[in-house]
Amino acid sequence: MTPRKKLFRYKDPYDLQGTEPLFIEAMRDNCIFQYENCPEYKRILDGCGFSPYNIRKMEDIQAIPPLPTLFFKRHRLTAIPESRMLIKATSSGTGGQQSFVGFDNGGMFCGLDMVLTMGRTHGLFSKMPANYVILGYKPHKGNNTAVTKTAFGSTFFAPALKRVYALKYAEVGYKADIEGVAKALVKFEKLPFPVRFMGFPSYTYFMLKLLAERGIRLRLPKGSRLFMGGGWKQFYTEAVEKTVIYKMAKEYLGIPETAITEFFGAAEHPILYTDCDRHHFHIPIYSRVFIRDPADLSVLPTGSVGLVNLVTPMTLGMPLLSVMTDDLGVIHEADECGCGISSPYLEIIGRTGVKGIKTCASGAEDILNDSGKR
Amino acid sequence: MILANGKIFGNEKSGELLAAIKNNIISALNEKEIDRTKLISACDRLGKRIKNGEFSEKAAQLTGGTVSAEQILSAAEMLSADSLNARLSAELGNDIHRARPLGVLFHIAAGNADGLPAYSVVEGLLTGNVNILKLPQADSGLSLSILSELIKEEPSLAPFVYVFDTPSSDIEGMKRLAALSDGIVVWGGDEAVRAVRQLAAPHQRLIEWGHKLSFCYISEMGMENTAELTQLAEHIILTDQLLCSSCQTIYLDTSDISKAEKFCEGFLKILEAAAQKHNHSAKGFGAGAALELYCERLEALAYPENVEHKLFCGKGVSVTLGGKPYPELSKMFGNPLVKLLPRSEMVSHFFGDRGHMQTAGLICAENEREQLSDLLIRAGAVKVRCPAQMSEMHTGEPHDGEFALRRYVKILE
Repeated sequence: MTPRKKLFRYKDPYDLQGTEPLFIEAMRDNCIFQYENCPEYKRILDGCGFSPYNIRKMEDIQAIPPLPTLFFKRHRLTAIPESRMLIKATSSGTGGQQSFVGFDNGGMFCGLDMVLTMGRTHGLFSKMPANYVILGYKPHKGNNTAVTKTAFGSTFFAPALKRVYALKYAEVGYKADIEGVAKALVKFEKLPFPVRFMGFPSYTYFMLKLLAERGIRLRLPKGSRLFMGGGWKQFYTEAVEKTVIYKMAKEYLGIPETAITEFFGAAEHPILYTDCDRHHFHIPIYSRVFIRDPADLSVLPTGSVGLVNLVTPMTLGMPLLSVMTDDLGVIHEADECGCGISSPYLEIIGRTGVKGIKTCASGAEDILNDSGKR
Repeated sequence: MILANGKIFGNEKSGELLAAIKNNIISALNEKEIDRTKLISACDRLGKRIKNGEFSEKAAQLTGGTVSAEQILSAAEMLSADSLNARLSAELGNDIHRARPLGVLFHIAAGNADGLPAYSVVEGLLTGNVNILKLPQADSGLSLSILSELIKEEPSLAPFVYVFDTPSSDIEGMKRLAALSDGIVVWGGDEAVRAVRQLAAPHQRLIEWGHKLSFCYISEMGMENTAELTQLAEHIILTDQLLCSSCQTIYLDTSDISKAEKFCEGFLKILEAAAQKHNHSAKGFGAGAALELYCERLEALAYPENVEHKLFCGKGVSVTLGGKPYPELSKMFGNPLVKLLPRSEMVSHFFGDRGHMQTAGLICAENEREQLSDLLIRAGAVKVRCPAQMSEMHTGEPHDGEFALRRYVKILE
């Protein structure tokens, strides 16, 4: 069995120390594979004076030049022919550009192992059939976004009776139908099966707001769960604290905070970070997270805010082994959480970039953006 | 937050206040006129309070410390009676007695200079107008605070000032505010100006303070002037290259690439020293620029055939040699562009973008200054300054080549 397979089959998903040798070995194999099969990646490593054959310890993993997500939005990098990629997906393209990502067979099975382990650890699975409300996109042949595939995949956590979607494909692209979701919920409340929600926090919030405005207070069947992931995207100005959503979910759906789970991940880093009871994203064995100083990209100590660098040996299809996101984040020691999980956790503080930037062009310019004229 | 009739309200009152604003404005236009002497004396008193440090803590708190002591002093100076009287006489001159307010000005402010939206309203008041200010999304709250203090100094100004920070996404609200005005003052880029032109009715006067680009021109003699290069580096760091008057590109009066490379190596060190001196941080928005530059560095390695420029990277700052053959915005936050531009090609380089050019910094030998200044103005710059003064504002000087107050009035025949 390859080190990668062993790592993804490991039982305790938070035993970072116990899996460190496996992780380093799997990263080394992956880095060598990318170096030998992706010519652009080879030129980058050579240009940076980095040799994958010398990877032996965690410091060597830190020294692998991370590729920014921006790079994947601008260029398609592959280490195996696209015809051999089992799953192909794109990022959501919040900033207007999408990344293409593709997985090799082995990587896809690693992903399945990871989902099973994380699901078991966090109690995501149930044999009890459920009605699903997807507060995201209904799958469509023109939609290859990873977030749509993940949301659909999550409807297999418990046998699905019915799937209702908040975003449906209409004649001119996707259209939000929160009204339709609310109507379905009123029906689901009367059925004996739990309801499982999966989707963007933004649409979850919009749905809860609609229920609040209408004065609809549902008491959904016992066992109902609320899953969220994918960030606020274009609705970032309307983002509310998570606690607001917890409170509203209890009040308008009858779902307690303990039945609310949030996921974190990225198309370019397909690791399923699942929040703990205290809603923190602990780092699982499948990845490592480094926080880097934007000034010189050096790795910062725990507790410092910087650029979030996500590392995983999961897929061989593309050089996704060390990816620099445009998120700013901080790593906290496990004991700052106290939930019992032994690995440190990642907190996303914000995003870099020019949204809301104070330039001469700001101010009036957002009128145009918001009115959809551009 | 909303300021109307001298009182501050929460945004939940927005609908109610918007519904009442038309009658309030009609009543102000019907019954009252701004007493300019009282206004100037109130501004002067407020300026003195600012100068005495009464608001320094609040300004630091509201803006997260982005306002320097020098900027506070400069703001206080701009509100002084001497300064306002000097503006009136310089800008309206002999027409001052024939100048009447346009009526109602709707200011759509930009957020790149803290407190500037409030100053735009002061200009509107100085010319006797009723002012509606739509705060920018990134506003710190400083403008609302300044205007509310000004009204406390002179309560008769209350019917002439309305401030809203309703989001721009409320297009209907924006249209309603625009419909009440005789003139729309817009601070922003080309897209913003274009959007506001769509909001405006044909009879409304548009006063556009559009997005401008500034740059620094350095002659071969100037490339050796370490003192002025240090000033340029400090200007780049202190303004974060966010202002219209901030240097985006450094043009070198040479066609010799090896001289330019040597300049970049030397200037990078000066820029790094300035960043260190002023504790410049690449966090936040600067991190986005750093990430973009890092990506470009990797792209140059992966696709060497596409390389258009050479990147000189320092700690938290960089210098990019090369780029497009026309004026462009840099990555900002301490990351200027450097381009070769022999003086004989200057006019043709800026030709299509003359309307977008603002301040030209100039570093050269004394005996070249006059000739190069003249050439820069002919090429499109509206002012030529030494690098230390590129972003300084002086009382009585025009803005983007025009006198602001003149555009806020009508001159009686």
